[in-house]
Amino acid sequence: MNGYFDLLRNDKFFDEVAPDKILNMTLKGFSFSLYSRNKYTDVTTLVAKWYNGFIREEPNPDFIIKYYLLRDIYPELLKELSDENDNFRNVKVITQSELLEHSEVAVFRWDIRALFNFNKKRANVILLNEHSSSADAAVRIAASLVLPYVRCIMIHGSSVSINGNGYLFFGKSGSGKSTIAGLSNSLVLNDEISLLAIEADGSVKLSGTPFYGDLKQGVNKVVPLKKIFLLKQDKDTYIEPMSRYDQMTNLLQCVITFMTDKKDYDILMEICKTIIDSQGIEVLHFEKNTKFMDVIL
Amino acid sequence: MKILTETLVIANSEVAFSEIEGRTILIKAPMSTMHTLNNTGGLIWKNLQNEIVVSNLVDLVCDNYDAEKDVAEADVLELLEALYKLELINVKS
Repeated sequence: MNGYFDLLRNDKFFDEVAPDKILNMTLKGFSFSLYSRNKYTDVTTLVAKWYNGFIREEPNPDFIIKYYLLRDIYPELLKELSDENDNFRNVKVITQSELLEHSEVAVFRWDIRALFNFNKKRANVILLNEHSSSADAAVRIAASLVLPYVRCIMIHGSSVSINGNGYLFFGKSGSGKSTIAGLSNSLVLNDEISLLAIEADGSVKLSGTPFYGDLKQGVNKVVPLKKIFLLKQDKDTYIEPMSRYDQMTNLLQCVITFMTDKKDYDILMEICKTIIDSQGIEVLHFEKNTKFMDVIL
Repeated sequence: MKILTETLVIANSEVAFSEIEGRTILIKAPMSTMHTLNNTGGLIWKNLQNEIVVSNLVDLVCDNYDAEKDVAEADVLELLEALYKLELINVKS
C-alpha cells in the first residue's frame, strides 16, 4: 500500500496532467476543476456530457481533481491492481493511517485509487478504466467530503421545482424517488441525488446535481426549499407527521457521505438538525399516480 | 474486560452525537453504525465525555431520577457493558 501513497502523493507527477484539458463544474457555488492530459485519454470528456449545465468557467476553483488513467501511465500494473480489487468492491475511505499526512484522505475503489488533500484543495486520482462512472465517482466522493464544510449535503432524493419552490422526496433505493419525480409533471432538478444548502441567513435552498438516476436529468437550478418528504409506497396517498427524532434518523440515513471522522459527523448532524428545525420532514405515503400532487401542495 | 463500579470509563472520541427530543443519537465513524440512547442513557453519555468512575455515574442517575442505588447500578453497568461491546466507550481499569 505504501507504493500507492507515494505515487498518489507525487504532486509533480500529477501536475504534468495540467493544463491540457480542464473541465470546470460548479455545485451550488462550489467549483471543481477536473484535469486530464491531451496526449493521454481525455478523462474530462468522459464526464463532460454528464455535467452539462453545471459547467462554468472558474479561474480559481475550490477543488482540483487531477486524473491519470492507469493504462496510460503504468499499463504493467493493470493486472496487479485488478487482482487486488476484491478488497475494494465497496469504497474504502482511509483517514487514519501512519501512511497518511495531515489533511489527507485516501480512497480506494475497484476502479479508483485516489488521494485527497484538503489543505491543498486537490485530489490526485488514478482510474483503472475509462468509464465515465469511474471519473464521476471521484467527483461524487470529493463533493461528499468537501460540501458539508460549506454547509451543503447531498441526499438520496429527487427534487422538483413547483412554481419556483423546491420539494425534496427522499428515501432509500427503490422508495420511488424517480417515480415521484417523473409523475410530478414539473421541473425535475434531479431524480436521484439532490443538494440541500443552508444559507448565511439560515434559510435552506434545494438544488439539483449532475449525479442523476433513471430520468437522466440534473438541472443546475437553486430554489428555496418548501417541503421535504420521506417516501413510502402505499395503497393510499396521504401525509403523515414524523417525530423530530424520526426525521433526524431518516435524514441521516439518506445523506451521501464518505466521511470517517467524528468532527465530520458533528458537522453533518448539525446541518441535519438545522434543516429539520427550519423545515420539518413528513412522510408521504403514495400510490403510483399523480394523486400525491394534491396532498403536497 | 469486566466493568465494575470502580472502573474508569470514557466515551470513544470517535463517536459523534446529537440530542433530539430527549434522545441521544450516536454515530460511530464511519457511518455504518447509528445508535440511540434514551433520557437516562443520554445523561450518562454526556458525563462520559470526560473520564469518570462508574460509581459517580450511578450517583448521577440516582440524583436525577430518584432511583434506588442497586437498581441504578445494575442499569448503568448493563448500559456500559453494551456501549463497550459496541466500542462506543473505552474502559480503564
